[in-house]
Amino acid sequence: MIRVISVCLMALLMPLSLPIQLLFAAQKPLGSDTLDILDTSLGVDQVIRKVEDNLNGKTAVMEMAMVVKTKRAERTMKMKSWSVGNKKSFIKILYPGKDKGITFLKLDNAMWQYVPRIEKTIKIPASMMLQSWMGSDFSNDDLVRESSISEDYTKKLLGETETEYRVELLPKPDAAVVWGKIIFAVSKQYFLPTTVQYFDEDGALSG
Amino acid sequence: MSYTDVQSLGDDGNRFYPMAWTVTPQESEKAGHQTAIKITEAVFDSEVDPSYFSKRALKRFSR
Repeated sequence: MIRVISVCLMALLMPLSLPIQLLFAAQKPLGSDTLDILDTSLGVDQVIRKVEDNLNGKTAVMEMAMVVKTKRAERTMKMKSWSVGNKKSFIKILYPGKDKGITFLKLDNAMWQYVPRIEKTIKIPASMMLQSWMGSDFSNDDLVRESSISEDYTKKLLGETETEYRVELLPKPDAAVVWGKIIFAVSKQYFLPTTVQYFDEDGALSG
Repeated sequence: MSYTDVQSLGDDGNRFYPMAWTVTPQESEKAGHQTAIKITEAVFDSEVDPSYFSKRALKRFSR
């Protein structure tokens, strides 16, 4: 399911949301003092916040292509996104022709869609947030959700290799989130995610 | 979800960004499904017209 843009899609997507997006002061890889900051839970918070900063930036303008594959078909979409931090995003579909001009707006945790064919602006209701975004494996929620990783989850360093940190995110009791757990693998070189695993409330791996 | 193809961006090349994102659902009913995003252009920390972020913009910038 989705995760950027705001991102990452919005977070882009997501990025997707994601991923998304994801998506913001990206930076040169940290120096040799990097390991020290992981000695406390605050250090883990800083790692995740830096990942979010690297993905989002203060602002981001992106063009992207999205390929959605299913058992029976494959289709390609092209889009452009404008975002400010991870709170405001605007996406415009550029291709294919039948979807061209569809636009999406994300403001904090609210999302709207404009469909030019019917000249209607639609607010995406809460009940639709887990639905697929544009037929992809991203959900509407993935586009919105990227904004709350730092705020809505507790973080724990699970371990590290020479190249990556492995961080577990568990939702805070009062957080309005859909995932039961998220595992982030973070590149030590770039402070960017390499893989992100999403688990539902029953502990099943979703994607 | 995986993030790959990290590239340096910007005039000074100091920003690194994963240009490819791939989601592979793990649910059995979605076996064989995959969504891949390839970022073809990315500009960070430039001025963005604030008028994009209003409901009025949805129709205005649709064209």
